[in-house]
Amino acid sequence: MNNGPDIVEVHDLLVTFSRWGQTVRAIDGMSLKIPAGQALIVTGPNGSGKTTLLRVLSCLLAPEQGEVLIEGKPAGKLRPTDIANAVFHVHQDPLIGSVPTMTLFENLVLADEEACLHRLNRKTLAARNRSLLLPLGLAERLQQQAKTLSGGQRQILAILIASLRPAKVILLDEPLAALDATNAGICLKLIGELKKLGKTIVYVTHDLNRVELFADRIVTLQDGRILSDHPAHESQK
Amino acid sequence: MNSFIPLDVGLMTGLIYAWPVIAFAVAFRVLAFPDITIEGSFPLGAATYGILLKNGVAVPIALCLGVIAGALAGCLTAYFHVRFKLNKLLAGIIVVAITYTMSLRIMGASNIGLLTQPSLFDFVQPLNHLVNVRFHVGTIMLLGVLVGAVSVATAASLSSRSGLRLRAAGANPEYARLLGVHVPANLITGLAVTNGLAAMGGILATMNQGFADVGMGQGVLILALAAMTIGEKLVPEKWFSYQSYVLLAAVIGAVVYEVLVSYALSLGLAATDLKLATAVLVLLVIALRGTKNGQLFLEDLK
Repeated sequence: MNNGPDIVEVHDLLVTFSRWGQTVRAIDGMSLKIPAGQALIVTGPNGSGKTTLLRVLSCLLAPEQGEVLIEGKPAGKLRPTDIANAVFHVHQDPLIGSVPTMTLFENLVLADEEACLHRLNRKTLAARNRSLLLPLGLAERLQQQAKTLSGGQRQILAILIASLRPAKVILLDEPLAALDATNAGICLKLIGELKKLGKTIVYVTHDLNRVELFADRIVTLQDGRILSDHPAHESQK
Repeated sequence: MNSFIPLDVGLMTGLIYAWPVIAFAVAFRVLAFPDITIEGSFPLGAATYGILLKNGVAVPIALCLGVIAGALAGCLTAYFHVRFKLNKLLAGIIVVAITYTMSLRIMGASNIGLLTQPSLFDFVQPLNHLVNVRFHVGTIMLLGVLVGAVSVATAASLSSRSGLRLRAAGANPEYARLLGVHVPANLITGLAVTNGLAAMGGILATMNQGFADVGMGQGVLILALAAMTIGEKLVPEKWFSYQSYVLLAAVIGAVVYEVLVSYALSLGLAATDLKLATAVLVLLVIALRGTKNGQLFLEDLK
């Protein structure tokens, strides 16, 4: 397990929803520390609070109680651009992870802050983006709109975009749901490369078999609380 | 030679109305905002320009202020939508109502005559008499150059990094937020620009007809919808970048629509039946687009 400094800290988190007139505790007093560079797998039954946790970590949802610290700073006080530069969220729905009417080239340029900083010209950007898409079998589609891709290819593009973002924390919400074996394999390879880039990964899934190659730690949730928290190799024994 | 008259009129009005069509198409297709404000910003631009000109303000200044007035109407629609979570259509309807009163207040009457006032077309009048037929070559060339320039500039802006952010804010706001794009600010900027373009169309229409009228925006929306639909049918999407396709379809659609209308009127279509004919034409073109695209079109309107 990676033992870097904690990049994400969650203290005594409480998130409630009103459902059928009753208050449901989606996250109930959860505390969690995630060291930099760690691949944390979050699992648990439906309604256990996995997706809610990701929404809180990506600052899409403010907790009623408790605190989220990202790189030591309270998430509630971060500006939207700071949040975008710290955390990136890959949704389960592949259609959310790119702009459908933009070409793959434009989608990659939009996400690539580093290329923007270095003021790379269009030719250099095209060569760079083509080389990124080549191993994914998408190089020929560089100038085609994202809406022409299949759902699986859109998800591959979304994870590739995550690798271009300056964010050190990548949140993945069941990214392989509804993907065929080929596209799921490519996505998993890309996620493995995210980890090699030093990104911290928080990966929500029901299927632990698919993540064993890169998982460092597995947290199981139930009823908004942490049921178990252990290194990944312990669950493989 | 008389058969050229509808073509002359159609080209002139088509290149003038291409402005609100571009405005509507960019808002609708790029920002995913079915913006009916153009029906208000078109006459607002004309009213502002007209009254300023009437009071001795120079053409370029009156033109700029007219465009700004239209842009402010767009800002207001976007603001109502992002601030009060108003439905996009409802926000547009409210602003159209506001701009109607504003146009009346600005002009102090329902219309003002500007036939004796200078206009951009004065510079090209000599060219209009070059050809020995009744064809406004100079006016059409000037309008063509203006529409071409604004189309190229808009396409280039939408390909720039800030343009990409604007497009992301419109087409996929949830994703845009993940990238740190300020969606409300981009939406307000986008609609300011599109309604500024619509106002410019109103100003050009005023210059061409020699008066500004509070009711001149009526029918602009259905015209824009018809022209955009025709243009999208005629222009092959796969040959162009998305933004170029949207702009080219808007311009070609506006010109083709106006030429068709001019010939239809010259062949005896009663002016009173024009809107009904337009509505039938729009429905016909949507039906001809095929089931898949037709469904997409309807989903966009939700």
